[in-house]
Formats: sequence, C-alpha cells, structure tokens
Amino acid sequence: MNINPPKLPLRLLHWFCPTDLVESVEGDLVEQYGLDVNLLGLRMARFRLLMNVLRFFRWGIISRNHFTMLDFRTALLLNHIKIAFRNYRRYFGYTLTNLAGLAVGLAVCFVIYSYTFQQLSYDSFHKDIDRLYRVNQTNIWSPEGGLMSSTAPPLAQEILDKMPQVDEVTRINTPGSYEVRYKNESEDLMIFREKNVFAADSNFFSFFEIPLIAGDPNKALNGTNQVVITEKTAAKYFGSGNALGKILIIGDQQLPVVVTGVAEDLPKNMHFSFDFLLSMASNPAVKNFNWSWIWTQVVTYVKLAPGTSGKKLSAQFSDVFDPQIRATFDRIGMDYDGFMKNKGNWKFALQPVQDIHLYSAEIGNRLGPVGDIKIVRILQIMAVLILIMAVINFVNLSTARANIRSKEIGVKKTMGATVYNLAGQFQTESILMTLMAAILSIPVIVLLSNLISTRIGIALSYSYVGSGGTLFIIGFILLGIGVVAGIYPSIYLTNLKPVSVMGKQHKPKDGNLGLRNVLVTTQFAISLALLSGGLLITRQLTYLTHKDLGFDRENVLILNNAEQLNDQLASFRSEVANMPGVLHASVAMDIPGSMNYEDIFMSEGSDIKLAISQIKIDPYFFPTLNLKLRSGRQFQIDNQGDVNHVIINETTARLFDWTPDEAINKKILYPDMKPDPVVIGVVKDFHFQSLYENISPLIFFHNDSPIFGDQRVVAVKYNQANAEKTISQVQSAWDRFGKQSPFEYTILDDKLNLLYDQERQLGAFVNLLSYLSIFIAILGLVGLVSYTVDRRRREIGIRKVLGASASSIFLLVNRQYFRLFVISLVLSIPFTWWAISTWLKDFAFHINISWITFAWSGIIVMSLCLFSVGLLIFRALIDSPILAIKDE
Amino acid sequence: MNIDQLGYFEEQVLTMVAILGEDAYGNAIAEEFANQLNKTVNLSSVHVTLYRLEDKGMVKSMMGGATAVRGGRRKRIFTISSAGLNTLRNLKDSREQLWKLVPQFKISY
Repeated sequence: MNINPPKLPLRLLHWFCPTDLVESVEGDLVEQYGLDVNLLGLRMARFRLLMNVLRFFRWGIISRNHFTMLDFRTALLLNHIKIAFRNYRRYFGYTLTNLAGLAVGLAVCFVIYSYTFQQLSYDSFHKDIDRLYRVNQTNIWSPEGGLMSSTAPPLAQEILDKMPQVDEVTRINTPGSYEVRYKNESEDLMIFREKNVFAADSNFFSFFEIPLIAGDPNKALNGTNQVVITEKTAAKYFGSGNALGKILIIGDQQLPVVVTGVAEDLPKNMHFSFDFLLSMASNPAVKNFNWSWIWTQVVTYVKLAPGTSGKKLSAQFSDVFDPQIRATFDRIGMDYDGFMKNKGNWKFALQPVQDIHLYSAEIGNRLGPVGDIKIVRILQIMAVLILIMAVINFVNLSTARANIRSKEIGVKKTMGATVYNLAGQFQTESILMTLMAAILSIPVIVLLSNLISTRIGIALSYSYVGSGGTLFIIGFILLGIGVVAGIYPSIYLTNLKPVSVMGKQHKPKDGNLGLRNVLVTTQFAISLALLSGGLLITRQLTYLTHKDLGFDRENVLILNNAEQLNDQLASFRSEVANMPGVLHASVAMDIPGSMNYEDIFMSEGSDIKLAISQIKIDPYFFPTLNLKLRSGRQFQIDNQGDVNHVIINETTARLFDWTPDEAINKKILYPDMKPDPVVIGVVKDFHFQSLYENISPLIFFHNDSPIFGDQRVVAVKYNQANAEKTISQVQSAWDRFGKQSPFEYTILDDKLNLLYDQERQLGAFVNLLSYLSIFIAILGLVGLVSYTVDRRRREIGIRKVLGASASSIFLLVNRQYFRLFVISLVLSIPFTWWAISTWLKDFAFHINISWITFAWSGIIVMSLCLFSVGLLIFRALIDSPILAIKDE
Repeated sequence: MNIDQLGYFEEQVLTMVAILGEDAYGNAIAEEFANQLNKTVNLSSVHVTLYRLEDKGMVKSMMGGATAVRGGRRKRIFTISSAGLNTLRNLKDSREQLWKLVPQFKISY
C-alpha cells in the first residue's frame, strides 16, 4: 500500500510530542489516515489527520515531554542574556552611548507620535462620523474666491427639502462675544466676558457626540432663550450648586436665558469648543436673515444617508440652489455676475467632519483654530529620521567593534555553534539593548513633554497608552526595532571565518568601512538638514514678528469691549490720554491684526466693485499707531464734516485706478449711505492682516459714521518706562467709568505675534528635534572615534615619541570624518532648501534662503563635533606614551 | 485496591486492553470501542489514557512490529498487568455485589 501522508501535520506532531511516544502515535495516525483515504477520500483524510494531530496537542501528551530540547533552548537564551550583560558591563562606555542614543530616539518618536496621534484623532469619536460632513462654499468675500466654511442660514432647510440623500442637518452660528451677568442668592453680581458663545439648532446633541450631565439633550436647545453651558462654566457661575433652571443675563440687551443643560467638558480634540451654547432661536438674526444667501454667519453640517458619497453629492448642490441665490441678489438690488467676477462659480463642497481639523488650511474653520496635515507629516518624518539615527549608531558601533568580538565568535564557531546560534546571540543583545533603552526613555519622555508644554505650549496626553492593545503594539514595535538594529551586525559578525579571526597573523579589520561611512554621512546629513531647517524657520519667525508693518506695534495697549462705556467713552479716552505715562489714546472699531469686517464698496464714475475692509476710527488713531499719510489729511478733532469723510489706503486707491493725489475728493458709493462719503486722505499701506496675506484694500470711516460696526476698542500708546504703573492707572480709570464691565486688555505686539503661533510651534519643534538629532549624531561619532583612538593608542604613543604634534594626530584620527562631514553638508542643502522654500511659499512676505544659514549650521555642528572628539583625543594625548607602548 | 483509582473511561480502555490481549495498541483500541460499544473515541484520548494507566501500573507497554500501513512505524503494544487485571476484577465484583442488593422486580404504581 502506498501511503503518503502530508508532511506538515506530522512535523507539527514531532515538534510537541515526546520523542519516546512519537513513533507509535505517528504510526497510529498514519494507519488511521490510510483507512480514511479509502473511506472518505483524500481531502477529508488530510483534514482529519490535521485535526487528529491537533487533538494530540493536549496537556496529557505535552506534559510527558522531558523538556530536554526546551531546556537546552532556554539555557541557550539565558546564556545569551548572561553574555549580553557581561558585554554591556565590560564595554560600559559603548553601552552607555548606545543606550543614550536609543533612549532619546525612542522618546522623541513616542512624544511626536503622541502629538500627531492627538492631531489625527480630531472628531473621530462622533457617532456615524463617516457620514458627517461640513458644507463649505465659495468664499464670496475674498476677491479671489476659494472656499470657506461659513454658509447662510437658509441652506440647511433647503438641503433637507431638496436632497433626499441627506438624513439630518444642523447649524452652528457664532453670535460673537457676550457679557454675561449672574446674580446669586445673596445678590452678588458676577460679570464675565464670554468669548466662546455659539448658537446651535435643537438637534445639535443628536448630531455631535457631546454628552450632557444634566438636562435633556433633545429639548435643551428647543426654544428661545435657552443655553447649554459646559461643566467648567457651570462651576464658574454656580460653584458646586445645581445649574439647571438658573437664569443668566446675556449681552447688552440684558436678555435673560435659562440654563437647560450642562455638557461634559468638551474633549480637546474637537474642531470647535464652546462655553455657552445658545439655542438657535435665541439669536433672532439667524431667523431674520433666513431669506439671505449672503449672510454667511452659520456653519452647516449634514449627515448623509448610509452609502452616499460626499463627493458626488457636492456637485449636485451647486446647481440646486442657484435660483435662490440669484433671488437674494435681486432682493438687495445687486448684480450677481458682477459680484462673482473672478471668484468662480458659487459652489458648495462637502468636507468630512473628521478632515476639518487637519485639512482646512485654506478653507479655515469659523468655530476655532485648525491644524495642518503638513506639519503632522513633517513631524512624523522627523521622528522616524531621529529613530533611524539612533539605530544607525547601534549598527555602526557594533560592526566597528567586530574584532573585539571576533575571538569569541571564532571559538564559538569552532565549538560547533551554528550561524543561527551566533545570530541569536547578537539579536538578543540588540533586543535587550532596545528594551533597556525603552525603560530609560521614560524619564526622557517626561522631560520632553515638560519642555514641550512649557516652551511650545502643547499639552500632550498619553492616556491612549493605557489600553492593552497599544501596549502590545508598542512592545511589538520595540521588538521590531531591536531585531532591525541587530540584523546587520549579526549577519556581519557571524560571517567572520574562525580561521582568519583566530590565526596569529590576523590583523583585525575595523568592520565594513564603506557602509559605516554611508551611515555616518546619512546621520550628519539628517541632523544638518534639521538644524538648517530650524534656523530658517526661526529666521522667518523673527522676520514675521519684527518686520516693519508700517505702524508702531510696540507699547500699545488695547482695551477691549470699550463700547460698554457708551457715551462715557470720549471722556474716558481724554482722561487716559492725559495720564503722565500715556502718549496717545484713540477710540476705534478695531485694531491691526484683527480687522475682518469687509463689505462691497464702489467708486463714483466707475463700475469697479471692491471688497474692502472697513474700520471706524477717531482723529487720534493715526498718531497712536504712527500711521503715515500718503496724501490729503486725516480726521480732525471737532470737525463735524468728517463724519461724511473717509480715508483709504494706497491699495484701495490703486484698485480704483487712482493715484494717491487723484483720490482726494473722490466719492465712495455704499448702498443706503447718503451723502456719499468723500475721500480726504490716502494712508501709506501698512500690514493690517497677517503676513500670509498681501496688503488688502482698507477704508477708514469716522467713529460717528452711520456705517455698520458698533464694537469699540481703546488703543493706548504708553511710555515703556513705568509701563506697569500706567496700565494699573488705566485700569483704575476703567473701573471708575466701566463699573459693570470687566477690564480686559491685550498688548498689541503680543496680539500680532499670536497670528504666527502655528509657525512658532513648528519652529520650536524643529529646533528641539534638531538639537536631539545632533546629540545622537555626535554620540555616534564619539563612539566611533573613541574606539579608533583606543585601537590606535600604541600608534599614537609611538608617533608622539617620534615627535608628532597634537594637531597632526588629531587630523590623523579625524581625517575621514571631515570628509564625510563635508559630503553630508552638501547632501543636506538641497533637501532643506526645497522643504523650506515650499513652506515659505505660503507667506506673502518671507525671507530669502541664504547660504549663510547652511554655513552656520555646518559650523555649529562641526565645532560641537570637534569639541567632543577633541576631548577624547586629548585624553589619549596626555597619557604618557610609555603606558600605551608597553601595553601588551 | 482502591477502586477510586480508575475513572470510567480508564476502566473501559483497560478492559479493551484485556480483551485485545497481544494486539492492543492505540488504533486497535479505538476500533474496539467502535465495534463493541458503538462509540467513537478520540485517538488522542486513548493514548493519553493508556499512558496514564501505564503510570498507575495497570498496563505494560513494549514496541511491537512495524507494518506497511503504518509507513514503517512500530506499534506500542499494551498488555494488562496482573495489578490491572486485579483491579478490573475488583471493580466487577463490587459492582455485582451492589447489583444483587437491588430489588429484582418491576416497580409499579
């Protein structure tokens, strides 16, 4: 009979079955298999054989093993570990170098990945998140079009009516900031300025995953004058008491609203965050503008029916709403096509809610700041590069020191150790090293997170590590790093021939020089690229924050919410202006850095329509900010006629096709405004927006002009000396005038710098990482050089005896590294150049990349290397040559 | 001998070994289960039980002849020891003794 059972199950059996039993068991199995083949066919028989083998994998069988084989393996592993630790201890400096590099690399990787993980996790927790979309539309307020996240109130209902693919719609409106008052039982009045106030439709809590700890989520926003506040806000007003049903008085109209819900404090990784969430009906404007498609003051979200593609639906949106949009223009008597000139078609586009945080760099987010996927990717790449550098250190040092181990390898091979045994030894060493480094990296992680939260202002959360799955993945990754780091050394070392390494005449070579040089060059190229990148970003940041903006940004105090002073405002201003430490004081609607009230203006005798930023000022504004006139005059004190006058900036004049001189006495046309305002002056262009933007058109109205804009700030130019005293004087004056309104101020310079917060964070990150990468690279270099010096001690001794100078010996040891260093500098330049110039493209105003930066980073890294390597060699040099030569 | 020392399945396997005499090995015993008791048993359970019986001194084992159907692998032949036979007999006796005490008539109500 020809029995040919499959091999695999039987091999499996051999693996676990005790040797003295395996033959009979196997015989029985094969016999059964033969019967099965005849009875049930080949396939079934094979299957049953496998199942039968598996059934033998049971305690009653396995426990009959005498563990001879396993014993041997365990012993071997223990031996590997023992030898590993002996080696670590014997070459302690080397171990420390490796550990430090790996620990820093692992810590950096972990910290950066935690950060990017946080960034990528935004909004992921809402239920049905894959069906939630934000409706973006063409940015009709920008002359160049583009997309924006704001839409008009009627859109939501229209979508529900006309788009069967949409299951649910909700809107969030931003009514602005409110003064909120609360009088508690003991009649104490509390007033806070609340900036994070949203209004939302009643289905908000079924749309977004925001649990209420008190109140009914279905009814909380279902009516007028209702508000949901967060836990934190509730504690601020009501302490530990019950918040539900309490009455808060909001806004200038002193509107009483009742607290109908308390929301759990909002997670940080959400694209909006509020302290107050009013019911939509509490902001009557939303309802009043329900006819207008250009009152883009809400954000509209949709939940699509399962299986609907957001992309396909976007295309349909644009056509469906065209008639309504045109009707709006007819109603306000504007020319649709003229208005939309250069802005492209009026489009709608659905964007997945989960993409809002990272993919809205251009679209923006009406409800809060956004991140940038580019930065996330850059950081991830840098983290991996740094880890690679640490692994390179390990590989380099272990292969360089090959000949230290070569005797051990030779003896083991002669005694019959297989290549696998030896490889096992080296893998054990590298895995153990990685695990120790992981433990050591914990304090480094703590240190780095502290540094990041204090210096960069980003709080990292590691709560996700707690879950077993993540720990398992981290363990797996560590193991992977250990294995990868060990692969090359174990291949290289196990391939040494015993005869050649143990022979008397063997002159040990220092490992594979070629590869090592490549790796060292890579390391230095990476750290040089990071350093020059960091330097360039820092330079751009300095440029952004110190560029002459066309006005004085230093020593200007901005008092917010000055409109609260009502008719007292003028006397408050003059009192402040007369304080000894104050140079000028001005009342205005807004201040550079935050001017974003635009509307459409036309000019007399032409059909040019311009979206122009509008601001209202008083006659003191120009001296306070030191703005310069190009032609004409500014507003005059006590000149009643100036109410109908305007001042424009150079850009506005240019876009209306006027020279600055021609512009004087021209009329500006604005609907519903009679008489037409007349231009009396042209101000020199200044940067009233961030330097991402080119200078846009700007128009100044007089504070008393009837045009929209009731908000007021007071700008105070003060003397640097006694600044603090001046500020407290201003505050006491405010308290006297304002009584019920909290004193809130910002320093203009700080406010402007805040515009570049993301750049500052990026710069700080890149700088931090570049320092760490230099640390790792130098660590590796020191390891290599110290080993070379060690090997060449006798040579150095003899050379010294023969009269070699210190510098010639220094050169001798380092010559090859100089060369590698120059190569890596050259390699790093194009990469950094490309990366940074791509980044700079986003800025309308930016620095030019110059060679000097690269020269600097080369000099910095080079001198650090020379210093640390110099110390090493110095030690070898001051040793008496006798000691070195007599050694042996 | 304490009868608690044998489980029910052990007892059955031991009996099979006794029945099969010189021809008791894993597969044969499993087959005997199928033939005599119309019961499918797991080969691995038979093996494990046999080894346990050997530990208890109820059976002895030796390597037997190889056959072609086994791909040239030898059988492990089990034979019952006198201790094993004694135990079986004791079990049977005590059971019969108890059986005799059971009233031998039909119970009707």
